[in-house]
This record gives sequence, structure tokens and C-alpha cells, in this order.
Amino acid sequence: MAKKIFKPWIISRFLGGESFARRIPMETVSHSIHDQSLGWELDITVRRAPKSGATLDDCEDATLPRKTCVKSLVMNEVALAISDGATSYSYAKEWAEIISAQLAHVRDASDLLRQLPECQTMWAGRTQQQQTSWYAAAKLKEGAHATLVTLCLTPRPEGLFYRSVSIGDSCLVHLRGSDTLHPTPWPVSTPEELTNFTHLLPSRAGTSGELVTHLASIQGEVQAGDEFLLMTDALAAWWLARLPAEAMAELRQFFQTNLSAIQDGSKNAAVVEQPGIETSMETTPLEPQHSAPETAPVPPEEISHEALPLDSWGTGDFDSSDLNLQDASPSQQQGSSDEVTLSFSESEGIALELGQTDPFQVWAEQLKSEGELRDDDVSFIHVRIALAGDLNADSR
Amino acid sequence: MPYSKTVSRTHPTAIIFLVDQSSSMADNYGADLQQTKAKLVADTLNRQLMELVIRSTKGDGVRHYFDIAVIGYGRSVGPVLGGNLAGRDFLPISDIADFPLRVEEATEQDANGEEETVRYPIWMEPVSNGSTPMMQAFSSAITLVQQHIALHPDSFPPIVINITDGEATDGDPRPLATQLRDLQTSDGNVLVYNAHISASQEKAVILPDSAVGLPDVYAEALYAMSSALPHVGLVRAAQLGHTTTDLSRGFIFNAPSELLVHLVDIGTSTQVAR
Repeated sequence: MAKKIFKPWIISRFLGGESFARRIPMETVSHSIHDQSLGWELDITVRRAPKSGATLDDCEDATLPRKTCVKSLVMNEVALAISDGATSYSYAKEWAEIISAQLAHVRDASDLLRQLPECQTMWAGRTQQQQTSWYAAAKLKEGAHATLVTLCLTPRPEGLFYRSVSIGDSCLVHLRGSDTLHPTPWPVSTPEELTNFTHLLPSRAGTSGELVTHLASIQGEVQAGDEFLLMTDALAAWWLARLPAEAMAELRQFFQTNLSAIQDGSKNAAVVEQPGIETSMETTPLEPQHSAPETAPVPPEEISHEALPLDSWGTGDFDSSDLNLQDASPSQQQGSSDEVTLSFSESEGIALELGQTDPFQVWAEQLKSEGELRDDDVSFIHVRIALAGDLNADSR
Repeated sequence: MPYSKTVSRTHPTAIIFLVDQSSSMADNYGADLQQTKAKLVADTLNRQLMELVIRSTKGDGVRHYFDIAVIGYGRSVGPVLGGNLAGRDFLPISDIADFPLRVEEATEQDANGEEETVRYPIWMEPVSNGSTPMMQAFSSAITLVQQHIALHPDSFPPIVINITDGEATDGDPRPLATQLRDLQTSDGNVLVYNAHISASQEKAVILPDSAVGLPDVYAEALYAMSSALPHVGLVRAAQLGHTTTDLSRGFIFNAPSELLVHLVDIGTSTQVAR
């Protein structure tokens, strides 16, 4: 059964159900109206490649969002994060997932430290099952550790702004045209800083004594057309060995391309990666009467950071599995039965067979075999900022 | 760059301990003379095997990062671990984890000052009898290393750590040590380290970078048999507070007990994914 991808605002209008609409993270709304007052759109690409010989399930990098997507930004904030779980610890993947989801929106280092105990409690809850073996118990006592880089985008009347908090050697790069903006990459700017020894966020309370001295924060202004790249250390090391323009040109082949081109003209299907086959994307064109927003879309509600739980304001990841089709109206069920499922590569709109290897993973594996890339989990989030409606119109 | 291969399930490495179990190992060791050399070696290996198991543990399982062999030489030469592991030369680290002879418990204070129960597995008991057939032990190591390299030609190269208190009684082991160090994977030559433990009060020699100043021919022989520390070993040595140079070798002579622990720790350092 193909994964079903919907324009949330279209679905919510179509079904007319308040409860249904509330289940959809509003920041996933995407529209094509050229009206600056409608805010901004974020074209977000997420790519992960595991260590050589490992599977993607073994990858201990975590991202928020978890999948390639488009998000809109009006009065809300959108928070993203990348985290690199330290392989030498147990349940590092779980820890990376928790902190990337829970701490992506933090305002600064102090805010992060305030929220860290709750994350540590969550990790303890997820790992507290009885450790029967002596070695599992001994390992668990070491806790888990992970890097973290956040990126939180906040629209204000005077423009769009970002802030970022970091610990460890995962990096953030801010690009404007062919320029990389200061400081870049951040917080690590030389290959010498990318060693196997870095300060990490611990999952166990009581081991965070001097943590505050290793946390860093930056903030700045964002313009339409700006790009951000969040990456874990292996890719950062690769990046630092090249000119930014060269590195960006090579990575660009893996960025989410013009959605309208991928969807063969349809601008009304969001795009996500399919779990387990993260490279292939499936789109489900909506019924014709829903495909062209002839009328203005329902603007997303004004959402305040504090007012809503995490998954409701921008850190939740839109996934069509959130849409319970059993709850849909008869007309919706009718529509889904007639849908045509297409499969595309993300970069060029070429049909990708199920089970085909992710081009990014192939690329990473090739570079590892050539010694150009360290054998580690390799992940990035790329974000391209556009005024609302401009994203699909751009030719990239 | 050699010795940069990450140890992983795809590319496990081998660690071979050669343990002198001759009768002289029953002598007491060190300044306090509170325990025998055999007991010191058994405690050190039990501790290091525990460390290697924990290093390989992920969640509830133990990943196949290491193949371990513990070869004793004394009255006979061969694998010395007992119980379910008896008679087997190479043991995947997961079998080491699952089959200690027993697990002892002790109460300790954790980082927050609270009491906790800590479990210590025991694999090896002190043994001391017979002569010192070190050449036979190195011959066994060569065979095992060749087997492992054939299976894992691109892994971090095998590591051999020899712990002894005296001279070989079956000939000069230096040519065999050279033969062993000449074996290689695509990531570098086999690493051979030597630890001499003694009850003598002579000055200790720790990770030397030349044979100058070594007290006797025997010490010079062990130095010559030892590999230079790779980068990962130098890093670990620095973490443990030792001053080294790029030419420092994995060798200690007349060292106190804690330095035996350090050498085994440094010697088993491998490139691991962070």
C-alpha cells in the first residue's frame, strides 16, 4: 500500500473535521500564493547514510524533521535539529532522537540546561527495562551521549531570524548566494577540531557539571534565498577539506528539487521519504478539485511557541501515517481508492524502484572507499528559505 | 594512513594474550609483595576482558568487534579460559561476555556518592607451573593471526600482548616476534607488545623509544620484539598520563602492577567509532 501524502490544509478543509485538522502539524502547510504576509516556506531535505556495512536502522544520527518535507512559517516558529549519538554507548540513537525532538526549540544554553533533565528522564524511561546481563547493566550505567545543533527560525514583523544552540562537533553553515556567512561552519571551523573527542550532551543526570562551558549559541537574520546546512561531523570534515562552493555544488544533487517538477506539474502533493526506503519518495496526486488552490488556502492558525505542545508547533514531523484514513469521509475513501501512486527519485524525478539504494548512501559509500569521507554515520539537513509561494515557482 | 580502520562488526579485529604460566609466576610481586604474579596477571586480564566486553556492548547485545584468544604457556601451551570456553582458541567477544566462570558482586559508590552493586565477571584463575615455552606461544600466535587476517584482511590489524616474568626456556623468540610483526592487513602490520613483570627493585622502563639505558640483554630483546605504538595507542597513553614520542614502543620492563594494567589498556586501544 502506497504511503499517502496530503496537503494538510486541503485535507482539513475537505473533511471539514476539526478533530482531524488538529492532528496535522500546521507548519506543514504549503501554499503557492505570492503574498508576503503569508510568511515563508522552508524547503527541507534530510539525508542520512549509515556506517559502512551497517543498515540505516543502525544509524545513530537523528534529525528533526526526520524526513524531507516542506514547512511553512507564518506566526509560528519552526525548529530543526541534528544530533550525532556516540556509537560507543548504548541507546545513543534513542538519546539523539530525544534531544533532537525535545531541544530543537531552545532559546539558549541556559534554556537547554533547564530542559535537559526532562530529556534525561525520558531516556531513562525508554531504557529502564530490566537489564539481565552483567554487561548490559554495566554499559547502561555509562549513559548515552550525543552532539546537538539546533536551528530555530522565527518570523517577526521586521523579518525572519534564526537562532542556534550547539554542543559537540556537529555543524551549522549559513549560506547566502555563493557566500558562506560568518561564522561558518559553526561551531567547528577547522579540521583539527573534528577529533574523536568532543563534548557531548549526557543522558544521565549528574554528569553535566561543566556542560554550560561547552554550549554555544548564535543568532542572526535570514533573507529569502538563504540556505542552511546542518551536518554531523563526518560530513563537516569533508566540507572543511573543500571550498564551500565546491562542497555545496556536490551536495546539491541530493537536495529536494522543485516539487512541481517532481510531481509532473501537480503542486499539491507534499513529499516525504518512505520509512525503510528512505530514498524513494512517493506522491499521491490529490483529486483534481483539490489539486489547484484556486481559492486562497486557509491560513494556518497563529500559533505561539509556548501555547502548544512540541508536536503541534513545528517540531513534529508531518507523516501521512498520522492521517487515519479510517476516519475519513466516504468521499475521501473514494478518492484514495482511485489514487495513482508514483515513485520518484528526489533529485531528478526519475522513477526509483522499491529497494533501490539511496543515491546519497551510494555517494557516501563511494567517498568512504576512496578515503575522502570518514567511515561514520553521515547526515545532513538542508534548508532553503523562500517567501511563501516562491518555492514551487523557483527553478533550481 | 595505517591503523585508522574503525573496528566494527564488518571489520572485527583480533586480540591475543600470551600469558606466562610458568612456576615462577607463583612468586609474589611488587614492593608490597601482597599477591603472586599469576594473580596479578589473572586480575589484569579479567579486568581487560570486562572492558572489551563493555566496549562492544550495545543495548542488550554484544557486537562482534573482537575475536579474543588467551594462550597460556607453562606446563603446556594452549587456550586457558575455562568453563564453556575451554579448549577454544579464538572466541568472539559475545561468547566471552556470556560465559565467564562466575560473576562476583561488590558494593561501590557511584558518581553521586550512592551505593550500588557492581558485578565483576571472572574468566581466568591464577595458574603457575612448568617452564617458559615462549617460542611455542609465539608460534601459536602466528597461526592464529594468519587465520584471522585471512578472514579479515581489511580490519584493524591483530594485536598480540605477551605478559611474562622471565626468559624463554625454549629458545630465542625474537625471530618469531619479527615474523609476527611482518604479518599485516590492509590497515597495517600486526602489533606486538610485551610486558615484563618482576619482583626486582630495578628501575622500571615504560614505553621506551630506544634501547639505550635498558638494564640487560633480556630487556633489549623484549624491546626489539615490541611494535611502535600507533597513533591510537599514543593517544591512550597520553590520556593515562604517560609521556611518549612517535617512536615509543609497546613495552614495559620491571613495571609496577598498575602499569601492567596501563599497557594492556593502551595495547588494546583501537580505532572505534565515536
